[in-house]
Amino acid sequence: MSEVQATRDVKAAAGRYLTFHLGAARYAVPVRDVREVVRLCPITSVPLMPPHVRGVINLRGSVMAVLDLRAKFEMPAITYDDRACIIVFERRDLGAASTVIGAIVDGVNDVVVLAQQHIDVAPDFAGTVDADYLLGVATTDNSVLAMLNIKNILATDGSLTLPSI
Amino acid sequence: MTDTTAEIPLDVLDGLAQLLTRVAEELAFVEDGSDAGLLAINALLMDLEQLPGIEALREPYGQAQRIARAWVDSVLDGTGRFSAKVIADLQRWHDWLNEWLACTVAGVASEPLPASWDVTQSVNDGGAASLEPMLGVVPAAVDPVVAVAPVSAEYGSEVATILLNLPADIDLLREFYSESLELLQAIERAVLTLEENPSAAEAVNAIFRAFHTFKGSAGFLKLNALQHLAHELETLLDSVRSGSLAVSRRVIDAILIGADVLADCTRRVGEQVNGTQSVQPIPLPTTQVLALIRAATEPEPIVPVAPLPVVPVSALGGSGMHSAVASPAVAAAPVSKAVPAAPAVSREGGVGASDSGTVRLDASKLDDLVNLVGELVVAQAIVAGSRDVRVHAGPEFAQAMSSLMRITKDLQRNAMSMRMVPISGLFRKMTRLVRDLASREGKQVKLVLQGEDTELDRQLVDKMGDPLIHMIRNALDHGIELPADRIAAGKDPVGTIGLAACHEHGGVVIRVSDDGRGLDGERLQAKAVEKGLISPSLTLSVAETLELIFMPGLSTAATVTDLSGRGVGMDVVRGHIEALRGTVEIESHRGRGTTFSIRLPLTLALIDGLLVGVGPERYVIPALAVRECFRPAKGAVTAVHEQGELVNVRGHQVPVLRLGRYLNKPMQSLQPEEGIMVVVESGGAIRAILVDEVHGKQEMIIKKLGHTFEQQILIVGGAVLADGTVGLILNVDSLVRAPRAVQV
Repeated sequence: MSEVQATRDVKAAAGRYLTFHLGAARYAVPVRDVREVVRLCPITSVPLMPPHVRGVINLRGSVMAVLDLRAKFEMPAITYDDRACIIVFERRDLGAASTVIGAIVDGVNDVVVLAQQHIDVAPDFAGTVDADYLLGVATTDNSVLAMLNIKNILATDGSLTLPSI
Repeated sequence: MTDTTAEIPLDVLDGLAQLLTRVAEELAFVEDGSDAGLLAINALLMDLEQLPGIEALREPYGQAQRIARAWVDSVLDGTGRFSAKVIADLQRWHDWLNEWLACTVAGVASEPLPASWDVTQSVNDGGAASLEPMLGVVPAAVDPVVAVAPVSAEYGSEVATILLNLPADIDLLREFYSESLELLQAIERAVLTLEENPSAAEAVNAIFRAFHTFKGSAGFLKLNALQHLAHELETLLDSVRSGSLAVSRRVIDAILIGADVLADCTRRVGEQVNGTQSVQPIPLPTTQVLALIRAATEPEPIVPVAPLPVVPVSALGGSGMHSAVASPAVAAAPVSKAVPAAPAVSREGGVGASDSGTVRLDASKLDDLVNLVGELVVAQAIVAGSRDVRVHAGPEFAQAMSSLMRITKDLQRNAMSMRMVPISGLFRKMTRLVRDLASREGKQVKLVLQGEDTELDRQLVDKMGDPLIHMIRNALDHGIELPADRIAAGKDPVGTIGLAACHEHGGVVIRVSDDGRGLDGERLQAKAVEKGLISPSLTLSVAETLELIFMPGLSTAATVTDLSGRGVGMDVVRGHIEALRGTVEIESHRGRGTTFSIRLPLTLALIDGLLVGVGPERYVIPALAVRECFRPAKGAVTAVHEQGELVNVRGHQVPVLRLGRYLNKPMQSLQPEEGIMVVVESGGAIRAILVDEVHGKQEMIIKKLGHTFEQQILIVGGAVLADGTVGLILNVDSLVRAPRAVQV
């Protein structure tokens, strides 16, 4: 079982992905890890946390942590406009009870089906990329999508540098 | 009753039920022409498809799963928005599946899938098949070996079996079967009585006799494993009967689980005798049950083997039966490894009612109720405070609103009271502990209980067991002297340990006192210096010296005894209590004894919070810790060299903590007199917290902040405020211990 899991971790499988953007860069995350997308709402900041932890919001009565993906990827901060969203991810790596965690993105695009022939599973970025955070790169309709291993990204405490694709 | 349900692990059904509930929640918000809820439903379906053990479910479950997948796929591949038809279909699908689940649990046949749901057509459309390899997996015909021995599958090799000698013993077995049914009923009745009145001797006798008869019959029929099990249960009851074992929750649990296993076995015997099943070995999870029985007979239940997440609603222990023990929720909980799988006969669902007017229900259901009521209160406040409403509202609305508020308030009070249980159960455990320890130590001790009827949150009662046991051990081991020493000191040779509970300041105070030798401050300090915990040059006040007892790694007992000095110290006790948002204070007089006062909130779910403002941010300070609030006069705050700022509070100089500065947030009040001082106290330490504003006191539901903030010691949780945003609840303990700002 764990072997199967491990293969799935490092390999980008064909399937349905939610795409979003930060600035000009476009990203794709497996739909399976996405619980919902909510509009940006007032966030209560939690003191003495790293910059990429924006704070907490009230998600229908429960308290959910919200991360800033720009800060997480060490991108310059912007003032979010009304297209900005919080993608609610489900973390299943924390034991039996699954936990949700939000991530602010500039905007959500759409849900796409990525077939295997669109996906370059292990692209060579001349050693700049931590393979742990990237599942692969997909090319569709002249646009390039970085397929994120959101599970590993959310499980990492610090900020990360992702290469520009 | 058919045998189908026994093949499906309870946690699968429970997981399925939970997921279905969540699907229903999402479906409630789905709208025609909108994509709201689409991703959530899709993810939930994926969870369903990958639920561990789901393959064990029989058709038409698999078909139902595939058809829903096909619908959702068609939405995702198509417009990306729900249509009225898909919504209606999904709702019907959900209803059908719920019905199917209920039938499966009850072991009766369910309705077939509606014919209009054409599976074959929908599954073949688009790329659905390539997406989820799991989708194509159809539960194969159930392996006959697994079907007959679900228990052995669960317990591996640690299962004894019995084999009926049907040709020779058919008549005897038939008799055994009907007799056993009667015995099991008798046990059930007696356990009900016992749960309400643990000292009911007649009930104990009845259960003892039943197990004894069981043992005799099983022995006669050469069913050795069964005989052995019944013997162990009988021995357990004998200890109770002779008074060497008190009836505890664990004893009752062991009886119930033992009875469940016997019932399951009896049922299987019946099936084989009546010819509905062929003759085959009947598995008995004896090892598991024996472990439970042994755990129940251990003298000091420090760590319960299988705590039941079931709350007695009635004052003293409720009166459900094993349906509660065997509820799917219990089987799904990680702690329940030691609880044998519930035999099908006793699986009646999560709630079991009895004729005595009390109900046992799953603690989580109660928590859900309390949470929902709390959200209702918040939602109501949002409506009442909404600008739209206030602009148009007339007197009629105001009247309706106040009536609604009254009802909500009553509802909340009611819901909260359901979580409350008297502390007497916990106190009674200590009676036995004191008796055992005293006799082992050669000391004479009487335990005086007070305020046993004081009610507090069930969770708190459960979690206070360990700290209380430890403190009583300490009192007995270190506090109370040997009778000769007591006489020499001019005291009564019989020492007294007091255990008292009462309501105070909106919380509960538990006092553990002894009239022993008291704490030796000098020795504590010497010991702390010796162990390198504090510097020898430090001068400490009396209170600070006593506080040393809470330091990790300090044990003052000259000899390490069996009782204490096992490496678990008062630091752990304090940790336990603080985790419950409580505080512990200590008072001791040489030669006259020691008193520990534990202050706890009434409940873990709610907090009485003081809402304070720091710049634009708002924070919640637990009101239990707040002594007073005041606006300092000009010049009341003085800066003392190397001490930071101090403020005069009723003649005492109290260190000031500027909250904004501490949390690294901007503050409006640059001068102390522009803000408000909130004086808080925790663990004997006191601090004046300077904030910009105090917005008032209100009851709030505590929400966990979750994994991301696990390391965050400043915040204990969050609360949804009246405007729908989250307020952070400050950890008073870290506030009073925050380093003093040296420069002003």
